[in-house]
Amino acid sequence: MSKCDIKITFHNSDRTYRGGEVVSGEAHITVNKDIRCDGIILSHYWKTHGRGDTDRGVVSEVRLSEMLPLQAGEELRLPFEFTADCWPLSYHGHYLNVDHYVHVAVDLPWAIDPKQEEEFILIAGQSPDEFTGERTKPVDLGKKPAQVSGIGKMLLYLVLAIFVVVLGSLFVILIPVFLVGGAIYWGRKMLISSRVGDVDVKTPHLIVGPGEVFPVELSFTPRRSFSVNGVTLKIIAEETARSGSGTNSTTHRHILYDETYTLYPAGRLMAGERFAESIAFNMPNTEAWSFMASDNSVTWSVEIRIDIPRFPDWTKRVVLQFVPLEFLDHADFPAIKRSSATAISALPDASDSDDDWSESDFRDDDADITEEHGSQNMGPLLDIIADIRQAGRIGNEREEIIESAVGQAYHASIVINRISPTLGFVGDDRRYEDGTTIIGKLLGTNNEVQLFTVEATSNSAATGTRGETIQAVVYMNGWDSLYDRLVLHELPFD
Amino acid sequence: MPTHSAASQLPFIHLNLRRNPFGELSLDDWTILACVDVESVVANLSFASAAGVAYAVQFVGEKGYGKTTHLLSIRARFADAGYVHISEGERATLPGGWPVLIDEAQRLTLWQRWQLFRSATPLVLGTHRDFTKELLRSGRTVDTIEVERATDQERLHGLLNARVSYARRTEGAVPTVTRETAEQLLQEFGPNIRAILHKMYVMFQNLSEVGEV
Repeated sequence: MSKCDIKITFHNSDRTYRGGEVVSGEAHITVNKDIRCDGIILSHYWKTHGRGDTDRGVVSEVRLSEMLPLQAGEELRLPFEFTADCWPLSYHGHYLNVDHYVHVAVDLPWAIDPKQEEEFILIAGQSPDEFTGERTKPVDLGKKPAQVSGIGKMLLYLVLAIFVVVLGSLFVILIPVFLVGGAIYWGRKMLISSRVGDVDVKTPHLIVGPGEVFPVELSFTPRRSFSVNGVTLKIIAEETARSGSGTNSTTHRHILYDETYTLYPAGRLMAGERFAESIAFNMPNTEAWSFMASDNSVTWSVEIRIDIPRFPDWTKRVVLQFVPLEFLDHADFPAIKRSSATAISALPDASDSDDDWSESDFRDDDADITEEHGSQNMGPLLDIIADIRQAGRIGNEREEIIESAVGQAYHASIVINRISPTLGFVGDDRRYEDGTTIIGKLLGTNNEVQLFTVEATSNSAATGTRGETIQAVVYMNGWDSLYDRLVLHELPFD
Repeated sequence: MPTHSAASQLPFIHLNLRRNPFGELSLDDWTILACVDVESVVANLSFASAAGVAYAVQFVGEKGYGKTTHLLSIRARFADAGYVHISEGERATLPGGWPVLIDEAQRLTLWQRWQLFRSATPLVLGTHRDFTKELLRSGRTVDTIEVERATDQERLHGLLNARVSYARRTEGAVPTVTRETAEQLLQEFGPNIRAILHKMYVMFQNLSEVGEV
């Protein structure tokens, strides 16, 4: 039997906190044997787990109790609170997971300390201080460099000078190697440049958020005419997790996102004729934020390629920093009006829009939506979600369930997590292109949904801000298997 | 893309686990979870020391077969043990201690081998190369254990379920690995434990509910 049993509880039952919020709870200590304890220490930190070696953030400690004798049978309840970090946010990927922990240990002299560790979820809240609004270069969210004193700096320079002198003697031996390597590098660069010329790539910024439009311009004037297999832009998000060291080191890679856009198809580019193409695409809606640690990372990059047949390709890779919209000061989202429509069982076709239905049948501007229109009326939606999850990812069962539900209309109560202008809407009904996209959860559940609304006019569905609950009549458009959520379209009223 | 929104739930809560049980472990966790029988080796080390015999045991095998697991398990049994893992291209400092455990002993320099093999300290080597002749010439009594022979269905079954149990979140049910699965893994990967663990990692990453695996 251990000398102490430790249990950690959080005041938030879902253990979810926003960056900068106060994390509070209690450490429950049950003493099983008489012991002398030098203190009870709470520490909190983030660390990674998965296929890579563990990376850990700065450990912050809070002393819950000083030295005291503890007797068998005694029970202690020690409250704690601390301010949650702003970064990194909790992430559960394929090879990499990032989680935040509270760790409580009873410090016993000359013995192994009883301890317990529990995770909590950190979501986007307060923006880290490093984000100043400047977006043209990635922000370093890693360890802050140590401040070196004046004497320390002098010593450092002295060591560097010795290092340079020692290296200098080796440099003489390595000159031929460097010359050959350099020649190959520059030769290749000159060769490509002899055809393509100077290539100019313009991007507005390098710090981006989910759903944002990211425009890229590419221009150059070929020095010689040449054929291309195509000019493409690829956006890639990749997880890497490294374990071991030396020849025992293994790097595990998992592609999270890979989308290629064609700026120019196969063809011929003529000497002297300026090539200028641009493209704007939406960053995907995901919570796979850029993350960089010693052995683990999530990296977003854009690679532009001029694919030249039987010749080295021109390529350029630009690394992006993908962060939550909350860090980018996207506070100005248009409000959408609240709907009090009752549920209907089928969505009319566009050709039926002039039939007997009228606004007055469905709208009651003076009525508030009461709790009786909460999750009880969402039974059909919840049943669909349960069926989809149960069906699993393999086989056709999911597709069949989704197909049978698409086009059906339902009542939905959604707790808003995020609202943003809809960008790059894909679909036949153009009314949604100028609307908003709401990410939230069905009221009273943990089921996330994505709702596309029409343009925010008196005829649109809902008003709301983050944390608020909106009522809407929606029809199901599909299931997003990347984020395990329903995709819903608001029922517009014409 | 992440299959679960990070903001919605604790990791692997649907399996009553804290993490993927087949992810990378710390050295301490690795030692705790080592499912290897080192009793005879521990006994031989203790006996040889008491008898004043210069003794060495070497665990020979390919990468991923379990040499490090055996060494860490032995290390945990001796409070004064000295252990070093020699990485590729690195020159390690020989540790003090009793016994001395060298992981990747094939990377010792000639001089280091000469010093170490001729010392009186009991040695435990993890190595890709068999040093029996050199150790005998140095006057040592040598035991050689080929680690691939130490892995069978029973041991693998125990090892895999121990990993799952170690990652449990609460006292409730957790996934269990069947003997049939252990047998299939041995047939597919042989004694390469590392490859087996990677396969299990991917399997658990896609597991949606508690049950038999």
